[in-house]
Amino acid sequence: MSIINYASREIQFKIVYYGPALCGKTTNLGYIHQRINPQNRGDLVSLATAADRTLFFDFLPLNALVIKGFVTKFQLYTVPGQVIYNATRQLVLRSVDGIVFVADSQWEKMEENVESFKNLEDNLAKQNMSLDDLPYVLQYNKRDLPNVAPVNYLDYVLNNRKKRVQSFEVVSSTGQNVFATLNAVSQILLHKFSKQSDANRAGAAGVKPGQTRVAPQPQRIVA
Amino acid sequence: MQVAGDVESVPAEAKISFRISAIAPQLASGKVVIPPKDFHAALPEQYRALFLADAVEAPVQLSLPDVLANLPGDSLRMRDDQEVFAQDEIFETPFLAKAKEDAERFTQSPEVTRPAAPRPVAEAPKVETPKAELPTGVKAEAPKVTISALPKVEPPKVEAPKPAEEGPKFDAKAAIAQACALAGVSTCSVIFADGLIIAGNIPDDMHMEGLSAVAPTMLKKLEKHMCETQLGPLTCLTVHGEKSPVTFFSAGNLCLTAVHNGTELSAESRRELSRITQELSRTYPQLEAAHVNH
Repeated sequence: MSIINYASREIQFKIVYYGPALCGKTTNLGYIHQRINPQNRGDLVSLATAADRTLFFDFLPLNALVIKGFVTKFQLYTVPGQVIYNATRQLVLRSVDGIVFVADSQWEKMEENVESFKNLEDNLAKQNMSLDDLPYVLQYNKRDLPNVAPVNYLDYVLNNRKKRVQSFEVVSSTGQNVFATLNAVSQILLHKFSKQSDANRAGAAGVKPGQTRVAPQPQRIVA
Repeated sequence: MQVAGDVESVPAEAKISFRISAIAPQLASGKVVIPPKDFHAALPEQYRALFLADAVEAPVQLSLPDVLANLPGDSLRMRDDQEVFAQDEIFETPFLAKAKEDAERFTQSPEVTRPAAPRPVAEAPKVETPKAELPTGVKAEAPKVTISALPKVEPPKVEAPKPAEEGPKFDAKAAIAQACALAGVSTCSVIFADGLIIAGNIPDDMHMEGLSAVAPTMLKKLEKHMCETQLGPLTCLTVHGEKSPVTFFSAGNLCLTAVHNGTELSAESRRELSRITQELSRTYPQLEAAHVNH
C-alpha cells in the first residue's frame, strides 16, 4: 500500500525484511546503509538490545530514483525475529508494500524458517493481506557457512507456493547478493506502480494539479 | 529416548530405515520426527537395548542432512502448477547498479565469499552398507528412507573466506605493509564496520575474522562510555589472548586489527597504527566501500 503524493510527485514504498531471529535482517540493512550514497539515504535507526538483538525494528529511508515523473522513496524496515515480539512484527507489517523473507540456510534453522514464514502469513492475514498478492522475494542467507541446506530443499520448504518467487543465495555479512535481493523486490514494486500509473493516466483525466490522488488499490493517502 | 549403554559400540555404517510415508509429509516443516516406539522398533535388534523409551515419550528428531541424503529421487519435487515469476521491464535503480557492482566484485575475488554451491540431494554421499532389519509388517512398503542409526552430520568442508589482499587507492595493502613493519606487530587486517575485510595478512588458521568483525562495534560502545570518564578519547583496544595480544584501532568506518608478535606494542607503534587507521578511513570513506576492488 504505497503512499502516492500527486502534489509533490512522490511515491513511497515500504519494504520489510522478515525472518527468524538472528537470520541476518539487520546485517542486510547495515550493508545497504553503508553502500548507499549518504545524500540518498537517511540514518539507519536501530533499536537493539545489549546483545545486538533487534528490540523493536530497524528503519532505513532511501531516496531512489525518478520514475514516471515521481520521486521514488523506499523505506526499509526489519522486524524483531524473536518469537515473543509478534505484536511488534504485526505493527511493522502495517501498510507494507514488499517483503524480503530472510531465511537462515543452516540445517538447524530450517524449522525456525518455516515457523517464521507461517508467522508472516498469519500476521498478513490479520491485516487482510496475503503473500499471493504482495510482492516478495526469498533470501537464503549465510551461504558461506559449512552446514547449510541445499537450495532445492530451501525452495521446497519456502518456495513451493502457487507463485514461485525469486530467491537469492546471500552472504549478508559480506554483502554478496544483498543488493540483488533489494533490487529484485524493488523491481517488482516499480513494475506494479508503473502499470498502475499507466492505467491511471489512461483513465484518469480531470485530476487537477496539486490534488492528491490514490492509486487503484487501497493506499495510505498523503494530503 | 534414553541412551542405556555405550553407543560408541555401534558402527558408524549402521543404518536404520523408515517408511517414506512417515517421512515425506514432514519434509516441508523443516523437521522430521519419529514416535519413540516406531524408532525403537526400527532399530537393528542388536542395538535396541541401547535406547530406552523415556516417560515423556518425546519424539525422536532425525538428522535432516541424513534424511535428505537418503530420500528417493523425486521426494523434493515442487508442485507442478507453479507459476514462475517473469518481468518484462527492468528499471535502472541505484540498487541495480550496486547489485551489478557487487556481482562483479564477488566474481573477481571468489575467496572473499565463496558462492554457495547448491548441493544436489541426489549427490549426497551414501554409505553402502547392509540395511537394518525392518519390522515384518513394514517390509512390503517401499520406498524407504534409510539413515544412520546414530545420526552424525558430517557437513561438507568449505574453506573459510580468505581476506582479500588488494585495495584500490592508498592501498589498504600498503597500509598493512607499513603497519607490519612496526615494532611489536606481527600481522594485520583492515575491516569495514560491517565485517567486510578489505586487506590483511593474518593467517587463516588464526580464525580472526569473527573477532575482527565484532571489534568495530566493541570500540564504538567503549568510545561512548569513555566520554563519561576523565581518561581521554579512546585510542585503541587490546585483547590479551594466552598466546598473543591483539589490538584494534578504529577510525570512521574502518577498523585495523594488529596481532602482536608476542610483546606489547610501544606507544610509538600505537600512535603510528592509529595514524595509519585515520589515513585509511579518509581513503575509504563510508561511501567508497562500494568501489573496493578485491
